[in-house]
Amino acid sequence: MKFAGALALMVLFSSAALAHHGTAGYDMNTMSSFPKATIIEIEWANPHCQVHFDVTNDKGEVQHWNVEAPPPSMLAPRQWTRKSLQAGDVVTIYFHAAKNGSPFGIIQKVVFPDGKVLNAYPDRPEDPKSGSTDSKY
Amino acid sequence: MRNLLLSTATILLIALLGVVASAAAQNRRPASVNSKSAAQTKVPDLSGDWGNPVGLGGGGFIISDPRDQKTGTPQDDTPYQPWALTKLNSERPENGPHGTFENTTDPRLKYCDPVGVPRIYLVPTQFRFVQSPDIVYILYQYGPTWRPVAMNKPHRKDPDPTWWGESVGYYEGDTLVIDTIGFNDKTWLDHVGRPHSDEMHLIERFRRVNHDTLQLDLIFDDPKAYTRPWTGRKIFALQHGGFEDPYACSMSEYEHFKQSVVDPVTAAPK
Repeated sequence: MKFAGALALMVLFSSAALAHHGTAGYDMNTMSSFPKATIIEIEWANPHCQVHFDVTNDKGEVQHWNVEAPPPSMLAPRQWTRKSLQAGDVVTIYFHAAKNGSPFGIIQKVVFPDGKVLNAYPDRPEDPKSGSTDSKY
Repeated sequence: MRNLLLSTATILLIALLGVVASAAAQNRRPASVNSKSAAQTKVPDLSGDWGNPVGLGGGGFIISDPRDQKTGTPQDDTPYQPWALTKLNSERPENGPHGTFENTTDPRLKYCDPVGVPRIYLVPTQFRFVQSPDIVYILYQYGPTWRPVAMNKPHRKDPDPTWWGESVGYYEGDTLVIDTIGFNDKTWLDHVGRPHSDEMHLIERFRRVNHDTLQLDLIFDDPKAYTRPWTGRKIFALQHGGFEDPYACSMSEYEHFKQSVVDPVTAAPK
């Protein structure tokens, strides 16, 4: 996989956390991350917001990723706004990747360079080993 | 500014509902009520915005946990009529032990159909009661939509089927009891696709267990779809913010999401 290097922080857990619900297409047992994701845009829409970003590997190749997030009605009380992520922001993104290897996923949280954290699913354990409530929204 | 506008809109809606309630009180002749529905003077305080307790997400299912591998099998505790079990197993839900992302038959996802009762309580959004003397309104963040519950009134004779049914209610001590009939048969009871018929008689019992906790007990009585009445329970927690952000189901947005996320995520690995 070309971006294996960029996935260096990917942590594989061997838990039996449930991968089902509306997350059937994602590997909910594995938390992936990109330490330097460059935000392209956030689509603020139902049924799920989408966060588009680019990552660059050691060879300078750029790959575009798209991770889904909860809908606006659930992100808003979690301190997100449609302007939380601006084009050009470089952040660390934690997510569960698509099982089929495509550059898609479902977000867990964003960490900004100053340490600020925006968690999209605070009710979902960040350590899949501790069990998942699998809230799709 | 957006939140201010939404809050203003919510206040206006509640004010409008109050006017409607007042008009209804003036126009409706008091009907005979049975002993259960005699108006109770002390009204339990159900105020606040209610939603999933932290940690339960969209879970906390009313019915047996659909993650249970027995769901949809003869070992499932739900007393299905044979056709109901067959119908459940013919569905393609996003949730449950056989959840799939592809070609869902979920009417909520496929058509943005109203989710109905009790499934709306499984959608991880909030709801609020507006209690007036003759009608209790339930405002749901999802939709957004609302249900009127006529208090201390009997059902009409053989009401025509609708998505939300015809609800009447009364207070029983500290509990709001809602009795609903007149459903159509188009909604799912839950996210895995348990069906019901147009003969479903649903009882909802809401009780504020403490300031921060609301308990919902349900009785499903639907002899056409289930061999005996059965029950369910869900616990809600008082929420602090978020109700003013409605969730609108939009087919165009869903189609965009399907094309931009669902289709590539469900495509065969390259």
